Parts: sequence; structure tokens; C-alpha cells
Amino acid sequence: MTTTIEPTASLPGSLTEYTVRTIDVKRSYKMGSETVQALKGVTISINRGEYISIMGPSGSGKSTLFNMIGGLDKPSEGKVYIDEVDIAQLDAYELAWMRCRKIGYIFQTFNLIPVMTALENVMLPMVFAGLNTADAQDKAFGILKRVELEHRIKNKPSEMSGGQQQRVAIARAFANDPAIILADEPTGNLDLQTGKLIIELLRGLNKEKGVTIISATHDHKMLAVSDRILWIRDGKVDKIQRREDLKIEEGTIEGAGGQEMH
Amino acid sequence: MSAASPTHPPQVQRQITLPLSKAVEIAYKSIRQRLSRSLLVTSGIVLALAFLMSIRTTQAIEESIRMWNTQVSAERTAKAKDVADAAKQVRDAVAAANAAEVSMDKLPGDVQGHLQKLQDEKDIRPLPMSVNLLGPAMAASPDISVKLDRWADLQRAFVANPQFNRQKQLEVILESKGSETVAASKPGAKPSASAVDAGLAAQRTKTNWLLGLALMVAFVGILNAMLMSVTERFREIGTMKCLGALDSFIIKLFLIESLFQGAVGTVLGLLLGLGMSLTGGYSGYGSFAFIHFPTAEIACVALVCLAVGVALTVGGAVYPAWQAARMQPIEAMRADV
Repeated sequence: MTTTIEPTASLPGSLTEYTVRTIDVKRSYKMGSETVQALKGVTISINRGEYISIMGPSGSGKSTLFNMIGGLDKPSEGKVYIDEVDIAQLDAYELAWMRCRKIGYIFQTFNLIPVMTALENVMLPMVFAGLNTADAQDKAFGILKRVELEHRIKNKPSEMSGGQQQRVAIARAFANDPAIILADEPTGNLDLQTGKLIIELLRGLNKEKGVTIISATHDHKMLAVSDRILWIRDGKVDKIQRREDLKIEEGTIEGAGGQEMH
Repeated sequence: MSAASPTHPPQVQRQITLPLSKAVEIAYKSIRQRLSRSLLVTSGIVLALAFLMSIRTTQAIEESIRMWNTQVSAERTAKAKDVADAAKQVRDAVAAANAAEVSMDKLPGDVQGHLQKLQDEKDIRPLPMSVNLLGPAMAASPDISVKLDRWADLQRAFVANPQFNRQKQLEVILESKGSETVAASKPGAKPSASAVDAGLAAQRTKTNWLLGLALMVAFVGILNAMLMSVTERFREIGTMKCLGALDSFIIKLFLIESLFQGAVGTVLGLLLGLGMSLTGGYSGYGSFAFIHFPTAEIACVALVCLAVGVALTVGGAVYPAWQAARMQPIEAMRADV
């Protein structure tokens, strides 16, 4: 077993407080005749309502772990529990239900459906969840108002700035009141100022709704708001930092220009 | 929030299958937005179906004209034979009267007139006897009068039938077309009826090959355009799957999109093809193309074309749609697509 993340002190340690647990997760890919071990045994527990960042150089297995947590990939060995459900046991319909209701996805490239307006984009997960159009419209409008885009609901993604698109994407991720938000480099395609606003928005929603936010990022502004930071290196958990510890080191991280180890 | 957490694992439910109307709605939006790609798919099917429709409609029109020609021609021959038979009866009767040395002068005036016309009629051989040899006994013969009246009635009906005249005009057109057909299929051959039929059959085989090729090209074009459309939308499809779309929904989305394009393209193609064949028919057969317009057959051809067009487009979308559906939601995460 590799490093286990203990729950933060503010939360009691019972099993149900974890939204995501992985137990000795391994994942290997066949690359031609070679088998590549992307994850070599990762055991982590993520608390309900936690804001956690996953860091790691490319090729570290960060994306693989991230996809695993998001129910987008299944482990070769080990277990992944999302809301105490073993995702390996789920069939396609149950996985789709899980993705629809339990997990909200935010992408680096926003990934709004280009043919739909902002409102329709936010309504889409609700439509998939079986909500009727009128209710979905009301709910989507409410969320878009929360991200301060009520004046752009009729606009297509191509008519919006990157920051606005990402805000629509965040609204869409929150559409079905998920337990987990997975954000993959949410500020990667945005300028500094816009990125900061997006991070603030995510942090705000995290506090408001008590939703767990898991993000893969290189953005140090993101680290500053994270409850914990999970460093992945070479398919394993390298270290886990709490924000309290990080604050002391913050200057160092920024000064070192993204150097991960100390 | 922590205190309110459930004490046992929450149940996972199965994702619901969306009603078809939702897929239709989204597919419709997608087509409207991506009009240029839609037009590409549509134009291929329009051209192929216009070709199919024009060929089949032209064939139906020609078939109908030919059938009418054959039918009226047979009728005309039968009626001409009736006239000739009646004339022969008159001649025989007159010959019998001649033998009895009846004088023509003694015949009633109208019978004389009839006889004169009988001799002038080109369809009937001139009377083999000299009229002035008719003896007076003929005047007493009501038999000749009756036979002459019958002949005159038949003759009038024959001449007054407008169809027979029109059929003669058509025969001229068909003859020139026939010799063209024969010249095209077998240069130097004499345009006999059997040669014309053989030429037409050869022509039909050739057009069927062309039709098959055109439809195949259209099919490959649709397949290609739909595959491109799927590749282009990898991230979009992945995103939809992340948001909870089922495989079946993605398949429906693409098939419906294709169905829309196929239906629109086919209808446009039908209209274009119909216009082409009508123009071609008019230039080839003049008013005959419209007078003997085979409406029922052309409606049948249109239905077949509609089925073919829709089958082609939907068939061409099956593989791309399946490919889209089995795509993993992870694809949505890739930033480099």
C-alpha cells in the first residue's frame, strides 16, 4: 500500500465521509507489444466537500488517476469507490447515470456544445437526467444567474469569451447537483485575470454547495485555494500537502516557477 | 453537510433512455448550425437521386408512349381490316351484279356516290370492275345498298378517329428514335422492330450500370461526410457522454441527422429529376410526353426513389454512428483534438 490520505481534521473519519476512495489502484495500458504501468498502486480518500488539486508532471499518471476518479476509466487492479459505489461493478447504464447525476465535468477546452446556446448547454445534463423542459429552463437560468451570465443565456459558445464559456461550463457541471466536480486544468486556456475569477467562482460554489471539487492543474493560484494538494509522480502518490502547510511555502512554489518538489 | 451524510452507500440507478423527440431536436439544431457540411451530404444525394429519378421517369414516360402506340396501332390495323372487309363484300356483290349485267346507271344516286368514294379510297384497292358494267338488276338489289352503307359507316368512323391520326404522327417520331437507338447500339444495322427492341434492352442495361455506380458513389460520399462529421465532433460526443448520454442516444443523434439530410436531399433530387425528365420528354416527344403522362407509375418511381435515398443516407450513417457511440468519454478530456 502506498500513501494513504487521512481525512482532514475538521471532518470525522467515518467511511461515508469520503466521496472518492481508491484502494491500491493500478492501471496498465498496452502500447503495441509493451505494457505501460500508468498507475502503480494509489490509495487515496477524498472527503466530502473537499477542494483538492492533483499535481504532477505529464506522464506521471495524473490524468489516469483523474479519469479513474471521474468514472471515465476503470482500474486494471484495485478498487475505485465513488460515493461508496465500486465503479467496476457498474454497467454502461449505471455509469451514465453516475456521470449524469453524481459527477460534474469541467474541461480545459470548455467543451460546450457549439450548436447550443448557453442556456441549452446548461439544460443538457438535466435533459439527460429526464427533467422536463420547463423545469430545466428555470433551473438552468438560476445557475447561469449564479455565475453571472444571465444576460448571455441566448448566446452560442462562439459568441462568448473564454472566461464566459468556462462559466457556462461550470454552470453545466453543477446542473444536476453533483457530489463531485472534476475540473481538468480549468484555467489552462484562460488568461491570468480570468483564471483567477474562475478559481474564485469554483471555490465559492465549493463552499456554498458543499460539493467536492477535484482538479488537475498546474495553476498555482489554484493550489492556494485547495484544501489539499496531491502530488503524483511516476504512477504513485508522491506527497500530500494541506493548505496550512502550503501557505508557508507558497512563495517558494511561485518563486520556483512550478517546481513541485522541495 | 457531513452530519447529513448517508450511513449506507447510496443506490446507483440506471440512466433513463431519452425520448426520440429529444434526439430529433438536438439533431435538427446540429444540422442547422453545420449547414455547409449538411449541404455537402445533401448535394451528393440530390445529384444521385435526380439522376435515378430522371432516368426512371423518362423510362416510364417512354414506356407509356410506346404502350399507347402499340395499343392504338393494333386498334387501327383492326379497324382498317374491318373497312377492307366491308369493301371486299361490296366488291363481291358488285361483281355478282356485273355477272347478271346490271347497269350502273340504274343505281340510286347515293349508292353511286358511295361506289365512287370506294374507288377513291387509298386504303382499299380500286374496284376490279368497270362501274358502267353494272346492270339494272343492281337497282333492285338491296343487298349492295346495305353493304355499301355498312362500309361507309366504318370508313367514316375510321377517318373521324383522332387517335389514329395522332398515332401516325407518333409513329414517325418513334421510327426516327428507333433508328437512332439501333444506330447507337449496332451501327449499320437496319432499324427493324427486333433490332430496335434489342437496342433498347442494351441501352437499359447500360443505364442500370450507370445508376448503380452513381448510387454507390453517393453512398461512399455520405459515408465519408458522416465519418468526417464524427471525427470533427469527437470532443462533443465525449462531452455528451460525460454529461450522461447513452450510446443509443448518440447513435440516434447521428442517424436522425442523416435521415433529415437524406429526406431533404431526396425530395430535392426527386423534383430536379422530374424536371429533367419532363424537359427531356418534351424535347423528344413533344406533347405526347404529357398527354400520355404515366402519373401512377411516376408516383411509384418517386416512392422507390424516396426509399432508396433515405436508405442510402441512413445506411451510410450506420457505421459512423456506431463509431461515435463506442467512443470513450475520456476523449472529451483530450485538449489536442
